[in-house]
Amino acid sequence: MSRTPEPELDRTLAAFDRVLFEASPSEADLASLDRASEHAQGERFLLYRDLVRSRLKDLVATALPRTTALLGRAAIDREVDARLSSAPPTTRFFREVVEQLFDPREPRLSHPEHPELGDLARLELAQWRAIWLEVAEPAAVDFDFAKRPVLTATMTRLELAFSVHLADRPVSQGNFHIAVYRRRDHVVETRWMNEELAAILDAWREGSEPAIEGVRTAMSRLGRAPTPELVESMSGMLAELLERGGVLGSRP
Amino acid sequence: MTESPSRPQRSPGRPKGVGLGLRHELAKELFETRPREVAWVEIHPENYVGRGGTFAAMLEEARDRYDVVTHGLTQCVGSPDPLDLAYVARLKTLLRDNRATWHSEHLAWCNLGGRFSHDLLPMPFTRASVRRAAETIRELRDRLEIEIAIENASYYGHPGEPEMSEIEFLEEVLDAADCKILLDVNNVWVNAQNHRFDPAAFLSRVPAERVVQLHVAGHFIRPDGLIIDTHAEPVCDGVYDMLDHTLHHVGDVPILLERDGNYPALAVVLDELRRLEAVRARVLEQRRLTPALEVRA
Repeated sequence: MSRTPEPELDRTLAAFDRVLFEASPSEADLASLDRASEHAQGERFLLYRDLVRSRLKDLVATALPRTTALLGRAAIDREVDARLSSAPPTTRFFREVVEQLFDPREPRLSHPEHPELGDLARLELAQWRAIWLEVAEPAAVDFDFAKRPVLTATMTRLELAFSVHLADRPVSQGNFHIAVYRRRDHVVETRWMNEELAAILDAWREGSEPAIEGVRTAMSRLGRAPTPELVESMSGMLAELLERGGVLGSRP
Repeated sequence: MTESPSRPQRSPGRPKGVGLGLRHELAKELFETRPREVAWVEIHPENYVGRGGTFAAMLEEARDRYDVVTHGLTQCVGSPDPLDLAYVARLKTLLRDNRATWHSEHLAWCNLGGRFSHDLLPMPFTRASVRRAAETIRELRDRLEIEIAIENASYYGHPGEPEMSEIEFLEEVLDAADCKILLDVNNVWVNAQNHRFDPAAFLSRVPAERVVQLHVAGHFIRPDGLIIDTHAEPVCDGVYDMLDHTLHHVGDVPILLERDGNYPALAVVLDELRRLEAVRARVLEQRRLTPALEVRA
């Protein structure tokens, strides 16, 4: 049900809203808000602007710590300021604000000295989302290669051109196949795998055919035949994913 | 750990004694040690609705151990936007699962035109604001089918020309909406210091029969003297004094300590809870004895 219009009240709140989110608050808005105050130049309403923005900037910096370290906090703050002026948050859920205020595809964020920045931000956003994502996990029975596999709905697959998943090593260029998911114990797992295992995982995530057919589909897409080494590494990945909750089992 | 002989038994939906705002930063130790100082907990539903992982597990654990009270952050009763019915439906489910008997929101606004500030913004103290708040409270109560309590908010500047004082505004909203109040003692203290009024006089005018819960918290004092309602510092002596005054006025109402930043060790928080419980026990005893003394007189 829409609210009953209260024109004067709504004009006041609209001025307040502009002071919070416009790139530069207008003197007219500040003056209209500050009519009853002894504080000159709308200082108290600029305080609200600062409180709102500081809180949102802190959130983005907390959610993307390595991106913030790479770009610098001042750059993160500038980006959030720019986004707030064009697209303030439209979600009531604080955790979802991060993705609304920081988009790795934003051209303003290109950084010639750090071409890995986009990959790093995508990885950290995937990890942030996996922490809190609410999913309805499908029913699953014990894993059986003859049945369709069930993977956790918290899983995101990323293809990275920089090794940003290896936080303790110098960044290198290449093709890095990553899966991010939330484990049964709620810890977010970031798993790096080779091209063949990634293709198998993608086929399994589709969930449209039995697991063994998924392996054949993946190898067919790559134009390769399964080898004993592949079978061994796939078994290792499957055992790990089953234990941690990346693979939940098979469809009943 | 101090044994608190007056710690009440659980009574689903009707917490008693002193509680603590459930925060991720304190939850693990709280659940592991289950200190007697914490009689119940309060959650912000937005942190749990539509959320999986640790927080979903934390809520389940809290429900197993404590009475859980809800205190909303984003359905402020002064917001001009219509209710988000999808969210309200999910909130209703959460309240049912908590066996809640009331739900609180802020007498403030926080969203306009679909944009959320993620902060509590002051409403003008005007008749239009009274109408807006009362309309929202009534609709929220009807849709949630539960008693709504509104929290008096702190504010640093009044937007536009006021038509009444803060206490008059509060009284008018409570009357117009016929709702309950979550009386935030720290907010009264903060506003009294920042806007120069007598907090005790304010608290004495709050209709005691409408008060279902109290909040206390710490705040930050800027170098220029302006007090910012941070919930990130220890509760100050002035707020303890006002709590004493308030409890004399409203009686045995559940008290909640809010801590939202600069988290100390849980032991430090428990010290504050013990002090709050001591104030509560002393005032309730004084209230118990007072009628008898009057009879003897």
